[in-house]
Amino acid sequence: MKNDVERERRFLDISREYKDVVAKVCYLYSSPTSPFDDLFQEVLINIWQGLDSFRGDSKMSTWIYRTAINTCISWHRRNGRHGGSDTLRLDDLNIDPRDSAEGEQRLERYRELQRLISLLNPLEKALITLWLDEKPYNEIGLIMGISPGNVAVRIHRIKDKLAQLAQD
Amino acid sequence: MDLDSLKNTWRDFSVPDSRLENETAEIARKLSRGKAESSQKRLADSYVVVALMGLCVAAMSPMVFTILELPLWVAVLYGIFGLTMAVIDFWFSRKVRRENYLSLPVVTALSRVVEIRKLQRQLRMVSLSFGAVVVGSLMWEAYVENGNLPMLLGMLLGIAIGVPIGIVKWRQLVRLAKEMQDEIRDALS
Repeated sequence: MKNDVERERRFLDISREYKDVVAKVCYLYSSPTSPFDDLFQEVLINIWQGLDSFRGDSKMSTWIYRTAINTCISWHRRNGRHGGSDTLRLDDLNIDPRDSAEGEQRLERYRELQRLISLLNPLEKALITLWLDEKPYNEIGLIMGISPGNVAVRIHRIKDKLAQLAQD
Repeated sequence: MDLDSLKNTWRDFSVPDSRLENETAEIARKLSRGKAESSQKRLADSYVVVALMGLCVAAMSPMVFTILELPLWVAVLYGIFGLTMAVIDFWFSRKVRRENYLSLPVVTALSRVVEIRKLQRQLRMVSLSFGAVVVGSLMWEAYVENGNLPMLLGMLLGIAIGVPIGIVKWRQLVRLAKEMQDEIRDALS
């Protein structure tokens, strides 16, 4: 019983600390067949189940990113193709509904961001998510399991691809 | 939208704390009561269901001899088929349940999934091949040896429905495997 209580407390502490990381990853991977809430729940379940096996051989943030990204990719494989994006609404986000003009502009930018990123393949999405979070290349390499040099090359290609997609 | 705008938009992006905290608290309550399952566990459970069906097939094998009045060797073959499928599915269920690839580096996790799916396709080939032998034996004995046309027609109907579904599923698995292998090759190049 004490272990269960401690586990729940640890889980809630971790979830509170990394909820924004998880939420951002889930939003970028969300789609009509993979709604945000389902992804978010699935990631939290996998964090809970992985708690006992986490031995601290990587940073907690590295472990959280890996769990979130792998969960989202696996979910997509099982539940439908990638592509398309879950439609964001004002009340999904931290936008003041009283300031509707500014809020609508911000919402359009978020939708455009999500639309562009939804056109990438799952690994490209993961890389660009980590780049947008301003993670150093060596940390991205640890999360992804590729060398920092390879990370740099891949991100350069993805940026070119995004620039091209944004013009289209 | 240029890349700098992309980064600024991303930096700006946040979900209300209240929404996330409510969802997290709700999931924590379900998890501590054992009322939430991951899709990996549900997948493992689905293999257990199929394994139990294999055991049912094995349990019905005496009826192939006593009620359908087919030769004993056909009934034994039918039973062995059911048992073999049950063992394979129980083993695969256990493998999926114990697989802990989610905390691995992303490309490594993808490689592990590709291996599991390859194994899944190989096991499916084994079961299809064995199943074809069993069905062929049943059809031969039912119609050629005993002239049981209704049984033959029933089996042919099953094949006519099952084979196209199986082909579609197989092609989906192969396409998915190729897609994942291409992504890994692309990531590592």
